[in-house]
Amino acid sequence: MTTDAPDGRADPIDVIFKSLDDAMWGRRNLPRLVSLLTHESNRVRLGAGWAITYVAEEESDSATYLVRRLGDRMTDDEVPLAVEQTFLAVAARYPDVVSAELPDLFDADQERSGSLPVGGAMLRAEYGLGSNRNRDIGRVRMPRGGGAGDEQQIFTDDDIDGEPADAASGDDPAWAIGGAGAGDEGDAAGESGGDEDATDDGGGTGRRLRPARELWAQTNHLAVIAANCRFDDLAVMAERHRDRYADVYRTRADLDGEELAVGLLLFHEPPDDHEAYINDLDEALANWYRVDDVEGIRTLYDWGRQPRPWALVEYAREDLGDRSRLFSDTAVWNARHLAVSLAHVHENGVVHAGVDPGNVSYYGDLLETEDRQVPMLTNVGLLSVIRQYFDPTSRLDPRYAAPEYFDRRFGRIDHASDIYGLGAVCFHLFTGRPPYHGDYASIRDAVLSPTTPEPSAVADVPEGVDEIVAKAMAPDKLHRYEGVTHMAADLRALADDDAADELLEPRAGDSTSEDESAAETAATTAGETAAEHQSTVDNGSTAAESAGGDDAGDDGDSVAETPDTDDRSPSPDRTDSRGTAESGDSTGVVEEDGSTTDDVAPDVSEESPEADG
Amino acid sequence: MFIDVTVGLDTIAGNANLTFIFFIAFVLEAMIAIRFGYYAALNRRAGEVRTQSTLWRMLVGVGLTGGIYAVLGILDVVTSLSTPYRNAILLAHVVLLAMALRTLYHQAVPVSDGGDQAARRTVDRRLWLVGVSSILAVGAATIRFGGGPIVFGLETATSVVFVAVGVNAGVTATTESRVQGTVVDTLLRHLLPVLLLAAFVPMLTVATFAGLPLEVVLHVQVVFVIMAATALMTATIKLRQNLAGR
Repeated sequence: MTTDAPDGRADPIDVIFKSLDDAMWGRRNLPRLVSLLTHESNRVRLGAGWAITYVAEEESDSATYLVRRLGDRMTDDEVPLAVEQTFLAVAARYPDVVSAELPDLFDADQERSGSLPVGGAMLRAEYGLGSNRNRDIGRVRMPRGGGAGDEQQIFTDDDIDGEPADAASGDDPAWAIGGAGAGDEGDAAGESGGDEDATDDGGGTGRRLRPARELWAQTNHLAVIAANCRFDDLAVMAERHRDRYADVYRTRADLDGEELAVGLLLFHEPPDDHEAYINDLDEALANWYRVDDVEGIRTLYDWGRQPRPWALVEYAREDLGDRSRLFSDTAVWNARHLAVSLAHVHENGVVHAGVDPGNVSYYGDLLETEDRQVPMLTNVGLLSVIRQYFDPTSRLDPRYAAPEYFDRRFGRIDHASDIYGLGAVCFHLFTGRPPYHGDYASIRDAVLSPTTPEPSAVADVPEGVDEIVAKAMAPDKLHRYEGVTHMAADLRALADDDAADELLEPRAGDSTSEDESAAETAATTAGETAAEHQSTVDNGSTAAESAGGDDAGDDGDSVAETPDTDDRSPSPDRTDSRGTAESGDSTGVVEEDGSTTDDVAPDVSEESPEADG
Repeated sequence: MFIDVTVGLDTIAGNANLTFIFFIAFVLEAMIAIRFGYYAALNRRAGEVRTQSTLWRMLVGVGLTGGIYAVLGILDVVTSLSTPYRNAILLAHVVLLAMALRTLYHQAVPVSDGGDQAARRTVDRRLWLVGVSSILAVGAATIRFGGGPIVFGLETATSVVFVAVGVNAGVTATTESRVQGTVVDTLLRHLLPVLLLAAFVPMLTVATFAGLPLEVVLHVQVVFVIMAATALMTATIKLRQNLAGR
């Protein structure tokens, strides 16, 4: 029984509940439900979406009607988020119906790409997500065309007041805030549409709507992956996020009745050497999988090659780049965890090769600001592969990159490069800002100079931090820490607590160290140092130099055997409770910070992660 | 000249046992020293930073001189060729080790002003001058006179001086906190024992003038040759690890 609204129609909430109680009734009232997707009340819109999805699931013959109705709406100039999400849900459930009812949406050429341009109708769904305030912080992209000034000048920082530091000095270009377009130039041709979107700014104005056929291709990709991954089910929960290495989706995965929050990475594909790229990536992912058995390294659940290289990783909402300056004790705590995790990586013969704040992830969604979350190294070893096939300058944050990335004379990329990166990350942890900033040339000169940055020159830091950072970031490898364990020991000396031995406990049943740290503050210092995000630079003469084969993989010891696919079952041990999806935190996106710029491919943008953790 | 050289066992001090032990020691030293030099060369190629290049060149020299000394010793044993001048090569080995430690010290403890830097360079130049002069003098005198108290005394004095230089540099550098835990620190700790043990070989020669029988001195020397070789082996492992990025 439904109650009548003043206009004589049934109350929308009652319609929704009735549909959820009786799918058959809902099927008969689908036109009404679809109309509710544009209701003025957000609650009604969301409820209608759930109800329609439920009806579609229960009454399969309703799919045709829904695909037609919703598909028509997808070509509108302004597609409401609820309509879009509902269409995606139905399309994911009935891809055959989509291809049958909307054949004009299907384009074989577009299907392969699966790499949707940044922006588009889905990404306009910003309003449906959390705060986007960090989109405008520290995110830069190369000004193109009408951009101001030197194209090499692609970095910026936010000073303590949150103002662009260099802008104040007037020597930085007019930084454009963008989404993740990192290295879009290297992506498949099918992604050409991204250029248009990349010109959009983070404010969401002027975005080009994503063609429905691309949505279809996306849905098709996800369906294939869902069918082939080791999870029982996989459902996309949030829109795509453009990362440096991959497009990232936040998904909910089911495994033996347990729900997990999982990030789906769809790796960018190079224009050439596709097969070699996939093989190398597969090997790198196998190495990552081999070392992810500690809590400080993001879990890699599964990966595959088709329909394009993909990986399912532990859900993480934010990265270190999203965080402001930490209190000293929290910074020490984070640094120690990272050092121990990196030591574990090295002990297994793997080199990360891309240690920077963007590759340090956190779950986010802290219930209490005093809680601490274990920082997780992510994208372990991927940069060694990525930089072989893409412009390395578009995937690397030079502010945290070791000299050997800029100049071959400093040697090759190896574990010492990771130590340098960790030192730079420590600088960020203690000061809230990167060790170097400015235009590319000045960063490069500073990195290659014999002097090392001093955190104490930027902020009040504990005694000894300067020395640790100096030893880690020494330009000459001979002067760096010989091993991360040495650095970890020095970091341990900074703190009184002796929980270091607990840092590498196996994942099973882990509860993180948050309990022991509940009394400590992880709150960020408001007004101090806006979150720095990676940006990138380009320079044809630099990082590219190091791409000549001198990568971490040169060391035969560091090449891991690719585990048999059949052994990659995400056992319950590896799907710990930390990743369990909860309704309360289902709005985030997987945080894989990306940043890029490139003077060759102008239309780069960056999808800013939600950084309101 | 080569016509006069015959292959065959040429006992050292007329003692077959001692000769056998020396042969083993020389073979060990030759293999390890050459391997050390090889990995030093690879390290030099891997990192071409100027300051590092100087260090690696010295370490290549350390390996080469150690290898040449040992090969000459082997030839002395298995042929009729007499190679007493190999002690000059060993002295070069010691000098290079000491100067390598001093280079590491310079890298570990950089000076802050130009005056100190210039003073360091001056000291280094003088040390090089003393070292090279001594090596040439010992070599020439040995070839010309076949040894003698003056040659042995010069050999011992030079070894003592450069051991002092090397130990001072090594110990000073390793106590610097900024060095601890770094690759420089590890290299210093590996090379110091090599220097000490290798330097004992020429230093012990002077003991013959204290009345010790030559055979006894040689027995002690061969022990230090073996110990220097084993110390060099651990240093070689470090070089290899450094090369492999581990």
